[in-house]
Amino acid sequence: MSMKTSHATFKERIDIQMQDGYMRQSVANAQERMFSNRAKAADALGNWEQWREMGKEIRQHVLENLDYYLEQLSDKVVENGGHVFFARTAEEAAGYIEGIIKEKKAKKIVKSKSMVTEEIDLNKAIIALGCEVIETDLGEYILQVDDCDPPSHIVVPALHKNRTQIRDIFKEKVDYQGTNDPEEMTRFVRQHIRHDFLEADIGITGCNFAVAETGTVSLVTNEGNARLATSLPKTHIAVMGMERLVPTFEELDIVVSLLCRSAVGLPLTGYVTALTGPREGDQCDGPEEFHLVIVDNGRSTILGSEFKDILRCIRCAACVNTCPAYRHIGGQSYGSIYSGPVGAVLSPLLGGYEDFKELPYACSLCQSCNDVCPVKIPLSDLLLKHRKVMAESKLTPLGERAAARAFNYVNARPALWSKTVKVGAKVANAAIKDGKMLFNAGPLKDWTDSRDLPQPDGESFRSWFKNRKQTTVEQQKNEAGDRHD
Amino acid sequence: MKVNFFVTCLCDTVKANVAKRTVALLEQLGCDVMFPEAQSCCGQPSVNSGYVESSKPAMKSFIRAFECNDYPIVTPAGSCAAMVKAYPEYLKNEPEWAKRAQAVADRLFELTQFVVRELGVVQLGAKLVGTAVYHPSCSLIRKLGVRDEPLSLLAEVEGLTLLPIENQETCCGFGGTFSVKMGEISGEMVKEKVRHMSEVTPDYLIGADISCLMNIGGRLHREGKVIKVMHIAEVLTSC
Amino acid sequence: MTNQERLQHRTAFLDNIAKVLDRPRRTQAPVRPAFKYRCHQEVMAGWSPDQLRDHLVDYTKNALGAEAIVTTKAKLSQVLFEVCHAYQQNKSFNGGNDVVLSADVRLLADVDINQLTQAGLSSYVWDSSLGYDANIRVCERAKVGVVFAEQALAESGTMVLYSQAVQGRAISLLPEASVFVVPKSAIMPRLTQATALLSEKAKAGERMPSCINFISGPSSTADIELIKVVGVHGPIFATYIILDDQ
Repeated sequence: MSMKTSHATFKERIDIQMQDGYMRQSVANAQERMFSNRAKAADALGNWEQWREMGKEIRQHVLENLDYYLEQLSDKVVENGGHVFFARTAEEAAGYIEGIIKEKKAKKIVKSKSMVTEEIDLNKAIIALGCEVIETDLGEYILQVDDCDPPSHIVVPALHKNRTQIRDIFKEKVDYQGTNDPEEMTRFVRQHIRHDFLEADIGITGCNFAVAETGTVSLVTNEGNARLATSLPKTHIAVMGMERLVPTFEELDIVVSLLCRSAVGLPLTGYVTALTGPREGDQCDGPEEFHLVIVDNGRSTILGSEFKDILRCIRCAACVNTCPAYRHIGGQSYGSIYSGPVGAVLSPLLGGYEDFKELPYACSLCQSCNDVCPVKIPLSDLLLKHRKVMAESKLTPLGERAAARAFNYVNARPALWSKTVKVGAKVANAAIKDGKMLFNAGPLKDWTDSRDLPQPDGESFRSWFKNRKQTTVEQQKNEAGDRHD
Repeated sequence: MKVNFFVTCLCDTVKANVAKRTVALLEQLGCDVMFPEAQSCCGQPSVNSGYVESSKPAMKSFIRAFECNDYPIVTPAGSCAAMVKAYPEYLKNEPEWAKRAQAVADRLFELTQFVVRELGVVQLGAKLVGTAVYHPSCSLIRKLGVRDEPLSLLAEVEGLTLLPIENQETCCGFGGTFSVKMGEISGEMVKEKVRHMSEVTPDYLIGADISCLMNIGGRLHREGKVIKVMHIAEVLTSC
Repeated sequence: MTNQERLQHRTAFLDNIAKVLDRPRRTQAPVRPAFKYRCHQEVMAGWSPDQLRDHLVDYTKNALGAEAIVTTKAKLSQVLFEVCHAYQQNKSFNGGNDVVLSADVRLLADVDINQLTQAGLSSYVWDSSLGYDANIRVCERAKVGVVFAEQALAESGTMVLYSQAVQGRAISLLPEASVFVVPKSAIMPRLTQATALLSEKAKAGERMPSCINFISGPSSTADIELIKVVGVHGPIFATYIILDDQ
């Protein structure tokens, strides 16, 4: 799966998704649970604002010195006996990994959940080589088995499916005979793919944070699949976005603590695994070969742009879990592997405006994402910046541009504005009756599909203020009346 | 105390009565209310759609309009207040204008913020009998950090009981041009807001941003719900 | 292969980063800004070993769905037997009768293997000299894996393991149940103290162990309807044995 997960238009996607009652219920429930778990975990830790500030500063410092830390990281990895490949593009990254697969004559690969490998469309490249690849994270496994259904959440990828849908998929695709009980299905998958871990030639993982000082790759997981994928196969390939690192283990403490509490509301996830190079010579399990693939794929362009703050992201999905737009349209509406506020910022940057131009508008600018982000990314401001870039590069509809021009012309001329308001107040009053426009008002249709219009008061405030006699407060209250909607 | 009134375009054209009640409230508190006539819209519809550059002449016009004196500026809308407070950032490449923008922004207060923080008043002698849901608008709580002020004012209103609702601080779905450009999503958001409100069957919906009230009120009207929509200025001048 | 051969396409990649940052390549170590706050140091600061132990036990039992037993060095063998035997009795899962033990002397010194191998239990001590296949084969069908933890973290109910020749990764991974033995003196407040130790090692020029695991309870998932299921690909059960007199 590449960045782009759908060929339908944004409107088509949201129309389909908003009809999916199960998905919407499931997303709403999930948001409530994850939002409150996160809030509780933040409260329980205490001083959350201080933690966030530290998280922000650590990530900021890394981005400002990214070349140094990547150099240090890669020096350390090779010093420890590993290999490092710097990939400017998705193709280069996939190409390097294809090379390893060919060299090892690998027949089977186990993968643990990694967004960046989705971004570079790695599975497609692996399959093209005739090699089998198994997504071993339960959520990813469900999606892979379901003919590679796109993920709908960056932490819980199969959030949009209910247990019965999952049972049916398993029944059809992997001959599962059990009930729709989540525990029974989970155990089934455990049994069903255990042999794959034992047989796999290569394990591929992502990287939550690398530690530059030691050449370490850390993985923050729960299921144990990442441990299996990095303990049993002879070769381990870790793929990381180039910005995903911290200077030392001291900073790792802060960002991992922020990630676990923000993502799942726990002090730590079940497994935080810190892997440094291949296994030492005196040990008998763990990979004999370790490869780290560091991927740019558009990130350096972001680093040099007004959007660089998004590179602080630690992929916790707290913003997704609080976003009211995501709540109603679900993750697949974004048409990208990255959904929610972070997806709406990141997808146009990594995948271009052509495919993702609507995403920055799928936001009411409520800023609840800004409030929960553990590294204080001003997500809603970045969405506004996207709108600015599109407006200024004329990627917005012609009619909208004309309307904005006209509005700004009038708004910058006080006398003209005043006249417009006075007339407008009367026109509006005459044009709206019982919450409906008396004539077709074009774009207002989208408003009136789900709600009525307010009944205007008739006279503009400025006309009233100018003409009002100096009256007592009491009289004014009577005059203003108790008329409401 | 002399104060300037920034009416906002929605109150000026559509909801003048809210503006009138705001003036009444300020006068009741001993303010001498002035209305700089050269004021216009804060520019949100255009700025939030991305037309930042072409909105700048209007921002400057707005700044000029309020440079007529040094008195505080009061407005009955959180989102418009937040917009003006963002002017210095938008104009940062023109230092002279950024400075002027900052001076105006520093004098600007949202109504409840002004009454509670600047005037130090919470008891206004208002009376409104019944139950109400207060909608804390995103602009107020998240952009301006005005969370407690409206609540402390409403707590003093005789006969009024506030009812909490589920996801109280979730956006109502207005979002300016979002409500038109992404009408379906916005519509779903307001439906959910109304659903949560309906669960507690209040007599009133109270808010401090007319835009949210129009949005939620529009949905209440569509559903035929008998919940009276009131701006906080109207509540605080009820007796 | 030389180090240089194992490092590909770096220069152009890093030059480009310097270019977008609009400055020359940074080749000297930047000054790491001091942390602005000490909130991470303040969690459970000043707690006594007993307080840390109690929190670890409570959190493990209440939040992780795992067991925690406080005992003494002298009773370790007996407790270990009871724990392993109870797991063996649980027939609802696969797994044989084997108990795989770490060869860490800190563990073996206090365990009487004979006491452990009663009532049908058999034991195997990890032996890296036998190679990958032999050890993995045993672990794969074993019921219980017993390891010795370097540290335990009270805040999160976490056991810290360093991979080493005597204690392979698979012991705490492949068997159905994991048993961790940790002395009370090794319980620390949180991740902060454990990473500080690793940072010191790094500063001293030591290579990090190739695999450091911070393990909090058995494996779990919430990928289906966000319902927590304990026991996915890793162990299904976990018990922490805390040696109170050490």
